[in-house]
Amino acid sequence: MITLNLNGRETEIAVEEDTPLLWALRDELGMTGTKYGCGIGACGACTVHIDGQPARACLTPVKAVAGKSITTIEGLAENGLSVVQQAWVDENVPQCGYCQAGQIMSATALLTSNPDPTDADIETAMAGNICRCGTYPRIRKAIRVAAGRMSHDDNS
Amino acid sequence: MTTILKLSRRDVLKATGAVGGVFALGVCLPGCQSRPGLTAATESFAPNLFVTFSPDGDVIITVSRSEMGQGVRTSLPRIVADQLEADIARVTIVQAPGDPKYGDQNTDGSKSVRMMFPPLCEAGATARVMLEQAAADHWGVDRTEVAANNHGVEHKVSGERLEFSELIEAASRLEIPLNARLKDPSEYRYIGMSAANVDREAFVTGKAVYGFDVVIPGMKYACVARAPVFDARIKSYNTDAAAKVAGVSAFCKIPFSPHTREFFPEEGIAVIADSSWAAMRGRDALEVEWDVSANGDYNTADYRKLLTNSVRNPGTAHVSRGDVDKAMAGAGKLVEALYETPMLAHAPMEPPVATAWVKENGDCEVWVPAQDPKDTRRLIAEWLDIDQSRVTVNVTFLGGAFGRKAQSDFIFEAVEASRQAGVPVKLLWTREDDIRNCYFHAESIQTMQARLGADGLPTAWLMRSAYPSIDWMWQPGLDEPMPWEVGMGLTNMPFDVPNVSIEGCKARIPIRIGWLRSVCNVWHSFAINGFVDEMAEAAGADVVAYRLRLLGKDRVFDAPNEPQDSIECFNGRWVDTGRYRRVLEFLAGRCDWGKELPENHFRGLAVQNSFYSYTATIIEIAINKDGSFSIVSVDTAVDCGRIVNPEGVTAQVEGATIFGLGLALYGELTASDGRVQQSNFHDYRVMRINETPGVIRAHLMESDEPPSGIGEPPTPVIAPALAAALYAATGTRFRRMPFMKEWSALKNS
Repeated sequence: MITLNLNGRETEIAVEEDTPLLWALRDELGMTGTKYGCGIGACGACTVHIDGQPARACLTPVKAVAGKSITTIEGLAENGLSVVQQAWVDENVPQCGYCQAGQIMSATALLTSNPDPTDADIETAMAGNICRCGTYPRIRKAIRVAAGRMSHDDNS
Repeated sequence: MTTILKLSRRDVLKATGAVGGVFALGVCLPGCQSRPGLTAATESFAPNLFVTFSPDGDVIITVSRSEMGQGVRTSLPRIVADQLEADIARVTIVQAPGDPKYGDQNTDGSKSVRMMFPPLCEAGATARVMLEQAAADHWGVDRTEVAANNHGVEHKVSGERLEFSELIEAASRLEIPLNARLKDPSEYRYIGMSAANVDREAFVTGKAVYGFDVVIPGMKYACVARAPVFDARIKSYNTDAAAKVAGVSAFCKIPFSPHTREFFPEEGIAVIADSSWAAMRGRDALEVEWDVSANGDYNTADYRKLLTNSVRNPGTAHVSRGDVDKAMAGAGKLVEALYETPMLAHAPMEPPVATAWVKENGDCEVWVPAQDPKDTRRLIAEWLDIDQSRVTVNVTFLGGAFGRKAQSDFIFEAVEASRQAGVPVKLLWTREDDIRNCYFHAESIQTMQARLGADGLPTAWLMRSAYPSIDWMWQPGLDEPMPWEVGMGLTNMPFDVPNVSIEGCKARIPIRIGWLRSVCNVWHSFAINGFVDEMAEAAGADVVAYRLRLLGKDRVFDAPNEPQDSIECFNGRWVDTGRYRRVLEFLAGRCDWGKELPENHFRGLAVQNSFYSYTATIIEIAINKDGSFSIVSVDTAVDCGRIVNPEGVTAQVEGATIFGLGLALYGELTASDGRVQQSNFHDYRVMRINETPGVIRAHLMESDEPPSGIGEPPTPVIAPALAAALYAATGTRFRRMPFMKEWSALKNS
């Protein structure tokens, strides 16, 4: 039994402790927003936050997150949409949508640590997230929009 | 193969009579097994297959095509809502299950909008006319005095208004008009107006349910050890180690099916377990000895030689105009070139996955990301040897597809696993499974030869193309491209050349092959555009001016070898060289082709007609100080006929461009000992955000022509345009994809 804080709630997971967090979330907890894409940390579809840092849930055994705080796409906003999710909606980013939870988790982590990222910062932070539909130009734009709104909020 | 049905305007709507005083309208599509049942519901009004009114007047619109990122759930309902004069805010969307009553549901060939536009216009207009008639009856006036407007009907003279909700009961008792007036394009309120994707909130919150996300109470999970070599057979297997993996509960054999059985799976052993992870680990622990004697000697290097030899000899002539041999023997410059493209996999972000439940009574229900739910239903019935009426195919969101999920092998595996296990089973493919057991985009080689006349234009042009036919998958012995395949970019080419021979050359391949975004257009466009550039250079001409001269006078013609399904679902003319010319002139003007570029910047251009659309692309690259190159911008102009959703078309241009760049720069799979050597995104490289050009511009041309394809047409122009830019920069022709390999070879030489 592993205990962790998932989206603000103490949560127990009863799985083999080497089970990747991805499958514990999806199969045990029924939280399917976090996606499988490659299983080797090469595509970013399974990105979650562990103690605020972006991590690939497909490579993270649950034993490694015992006692830690996990945020998934389901826990990003308490009500409605986060600033980043809203920017994604406003820029009409998704096509098939499958990779977008992972993209948003990576973008959110970027903007949390670096509220005013340069284009190069965005590319570096997002290079690990693949989108086969090719929504990259809109992802870039949505991140800039979200950054602008966050800085506006801070200044107001 | 798939029977494609045309939904003809006049046949779409037929009254089916009264039941208990309530009228319902059935839609009788050509080829329907039977007329759809009448709805007995008294509270709702379902004037046809695609439109249902709920009692409060809200409209439910059924989408019969699969959503895989191309935005059909956004675009198709807007066609209906427009003709219906419905308020789009009061429309909810229902995803249709697999059912022949919807006609063709095979979501491929960039055909959802072009095929569905006429019947969906008809569906909306017919319902609108019935509501107008009900209002006219209520006021005791002639129907010409009333008009529907934004979810209600107004009396033009008095200004009185009745909401749809007040009219649906009366409308449901009316005769169904067979020739409802369609709105004039000048009256459109949604068609041609941009709309954001209707599902975007579900996507960004993780709430959208994809194939991978289906949960059925009591379900097990499965993963399959399947043939590593095409048509390999199980010699022996040992489950001892796999059975010891915690959570593994059972094994079941997926039986061998001849590959000629439409999309039936390869032989394998499914490991049934309590979780995805246990199923994957159990599968990895399974020991299987395979007999690979059938195709274990297949390898890419030998196959390339085979194709190269094949195009040295005459093939089957699909177009033979004038006397090529004689003209080729004449005087003038001879231009020759050979173009090569590699094996590819689709690699949608969501690998194949299916959840199936063969119930105790033998009925089967599946929840699947299928591109072709109707034929999936038929083939599940075949697999289980039951009547189709006992099979339900529910369609989830598709986490990308690009052609892969048009083959339902993964679904039949899940059905078989559930049948044997007696419980619902979610059968998932890992990325490695997806790359190694794909229906691959096959390798191809084109050879081109031309004799140029004194004016620099070809007097003779010989094109030979060698690649295996996809039809080989169900037609044993077939060993050359089929007419519909050379029709994707070769025989429908627009150039006016007096002596032409277009030949398909022999090629067999011992792997499974299928459709990948743009299919044969990828290699044909690469070769044709590349060769036109080479002829232009030999003639000392600019590539735009040369193309315009090659086109000759504007002509409209029905190309030979059109795929039957395309003919049946497209109402325009097949090739219009004037549209080809205009898209080229439009883009060249927009981008100021020929202008002086910044130092170390270079451009390339390509044009192609595919899926009845016309696409032109200009790519600008920069050679960096360290000797590497960057793609500065991609400008693409499209004429895809009448545009339903410009925002959606723009998104498709962006996405198809990036897909095309991935193929052009990196995409390549190789085989050795019958096995595909790559397995995941670390060795099968696709585009990432840091490699994506900063500027991708879509230039949409206005057109009154019937809607044509957009999901695929912007892809095949990318590789040739980039090859041309690289040539401008280096003086080396890039005739082999992918280019990064060629680029490295060039830099190291």
